[in-house]
Amino acid sequence: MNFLEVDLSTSSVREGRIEAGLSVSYAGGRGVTSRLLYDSTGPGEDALSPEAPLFFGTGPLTGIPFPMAGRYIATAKSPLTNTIFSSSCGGRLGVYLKKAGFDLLIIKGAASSPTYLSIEKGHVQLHDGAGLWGQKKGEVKKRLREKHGADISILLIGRAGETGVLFANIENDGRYLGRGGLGAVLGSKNLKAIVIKGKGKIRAANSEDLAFVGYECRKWLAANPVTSQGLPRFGTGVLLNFMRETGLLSTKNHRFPAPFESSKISGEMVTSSLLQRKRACLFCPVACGRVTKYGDGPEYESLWSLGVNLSLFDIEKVAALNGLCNELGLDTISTGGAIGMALELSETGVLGHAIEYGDAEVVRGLIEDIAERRGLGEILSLGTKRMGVRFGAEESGIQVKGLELPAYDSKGAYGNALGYITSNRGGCHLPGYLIGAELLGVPKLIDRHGLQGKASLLALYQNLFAFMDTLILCRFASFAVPGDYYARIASAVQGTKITWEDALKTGERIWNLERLFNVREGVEADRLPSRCSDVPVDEMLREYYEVRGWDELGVPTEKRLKELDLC
Amino acid sequence: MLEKATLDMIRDIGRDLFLRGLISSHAGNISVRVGQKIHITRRASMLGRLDAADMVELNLNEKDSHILMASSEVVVHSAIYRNTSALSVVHAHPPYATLLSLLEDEIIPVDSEGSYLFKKVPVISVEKTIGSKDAANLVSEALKDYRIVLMRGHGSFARGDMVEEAYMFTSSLEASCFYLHHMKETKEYRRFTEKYKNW
Repeated sequence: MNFLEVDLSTSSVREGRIEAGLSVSYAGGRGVTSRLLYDSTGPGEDALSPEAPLFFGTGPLTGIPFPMAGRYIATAKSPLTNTIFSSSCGGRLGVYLKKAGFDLLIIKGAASSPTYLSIEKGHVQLHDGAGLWGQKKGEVKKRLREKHGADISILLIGRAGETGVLFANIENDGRYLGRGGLGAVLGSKNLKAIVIKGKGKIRAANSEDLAFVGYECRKWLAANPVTSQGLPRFGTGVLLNFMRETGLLSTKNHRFPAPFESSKISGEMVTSSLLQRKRACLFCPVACGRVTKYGDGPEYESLWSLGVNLSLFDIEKVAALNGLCNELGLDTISTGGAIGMALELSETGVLGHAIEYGDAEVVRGLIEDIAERRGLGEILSLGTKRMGVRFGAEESGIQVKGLELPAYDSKGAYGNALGYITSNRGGCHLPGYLIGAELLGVPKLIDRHGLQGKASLLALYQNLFAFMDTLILCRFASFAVPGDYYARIASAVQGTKITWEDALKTGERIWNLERLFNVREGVEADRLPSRCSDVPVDEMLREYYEVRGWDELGVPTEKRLKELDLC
Repeated sequence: MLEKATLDMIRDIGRDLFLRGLISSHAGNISVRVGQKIHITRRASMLGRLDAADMVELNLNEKDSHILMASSEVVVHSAIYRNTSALSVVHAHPPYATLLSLLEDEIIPVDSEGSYLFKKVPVISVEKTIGSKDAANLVSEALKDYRIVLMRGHGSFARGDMVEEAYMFTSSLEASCFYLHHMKETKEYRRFTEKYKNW
């Protein structure tokens, strides 16, 4: 794998190849970047220090026109959670990076003043970015296109990344590295944007086999109503009504079941009243992205976090707030979580501000204050965990390891709740996504309030998805494409036989490595917010540690690490 | 102890296997993995009439006295769990699939469902077909890369993330083999049969 390393402190650039064994053991994207992060950082290092590296990693599939493979991974230590944090994005940076001849882009150091980076026609260059700092995104993109041409991929941070909001995101061509504050990492380096252009051709080791597996994958994607109808027609917002009906949607900071009027801001409503056009990532036949007059989105998570969660049920207002978060570069889940908590604290008298749920103007003001880190926005910009400490109201911070929980109420699906507490990046549904089995019947519907066997199932899916993130494939492929296909895809693209079990073992190795990073950092124990304490996770957690081969504190045992070639 | 929901699912699937004719009265076995334990049907139990007493709990890595009651195929089930990420195993004797396993070295379904689900099903041969170490090794090795495997002249072993999934593979394979058997003399219509040989 070829890497390009840019040291912003010294304005120097280095190219090279990573050791061959690494790409064999970790395959690509999430695996390789996690290993590099683990090896290049020490315990306790500040995620926003100049030394903290940020990796953009491609996978074996990146650049090949394979369905749902036009993605890449960014990995860094999260300033919000202090955990290892990998995030997947459907922008074009990964494909262009690969076409420019690099599998990995490593950003380290910090520039002394605002800067942006360009990679085009074999030239890597740092530019003065002072004129872009503080500008609206549209203006930044316009200027960059004027200078570098229209056919470029632009990755950039918004105002929140510049000011260091701990949940600032990164935008790339209208798609987002959303969670964990990776935008603050770029901001701390004074790196406003990356411009990249790549024209090379990427080929699989066995193109004929890969074309055939791709053909078979498309058949599954076309046959499954989630990927062929629900997501294309309504976007991810298609989940909103379904989750409310099944009791997984909550309101007012996870305190109450969502009311019926939530349907006013469903995916169906976005499609019927706001949709201007759909947006697809490169090579994706699903096209779940929405574009409205307010910009990209709103996605399911944003409809919940900025809408249902805050008792806002006006689709125009919610879409506008979502657009504002996009413009400012804020993760919508954490933004909605922080504001939802502030509104609760106001309601209960803890906070001396007279602000109430259901007022879009109040929310708009808070979003702007968060991005500027002024007034009440200063403390909100640190996330709900730190808010809880500041206000002596930890029970109102609905987060795991500092990451605000997404739009699936823990009480509604116990395996998903276990997924929140065992996720290596904090409270997130994506790493194991048991919502698939517990709600959507993928691959088969299971009792969502059952306990037995959930730990084993979750560990299996966490391993599988970690492998998918190394190839790199969109998580939504797993709604339709069976687990064993990913090994056949990997075999074709890499030209060596990889069995289903080989693939899962690679995923397990990555999962354990991430866990080791968090153990080294002293990340807090695996537990749900106290508000969710009626979810019986203890038994599942014991089973989970047993299945993983970890000790009773959740630390990987030497025996297991040896089996995974991790020591 | 198995949770009621899990036990109910195993009981229902045992009944369905029998009523569908995928096993004879006392044949077949079902297991699930829970952590480092497996729960497997009792030796000589009637899958069509299972209750809680027909389930045997075993430690996956250390044998104990419960082995006395376990299915004859426990060695194969255990090997599958040790060597793969399977969370459930269904073993059955589907008649058409077992018949074709005597005639073919691999099964490549031509029907739509079978083609989507399997592409190819390997057939393995062992001399001692019931509960042998050879069977355990070959079946668990094949299931590292396939969802279901046929043992020549004996029957199927399917893996699943949950027992329902393993049952689905068993049932679908039998349907595929039914079609294959009855269309032996007709013209092949499905594309890519040659490609599926390399799946």
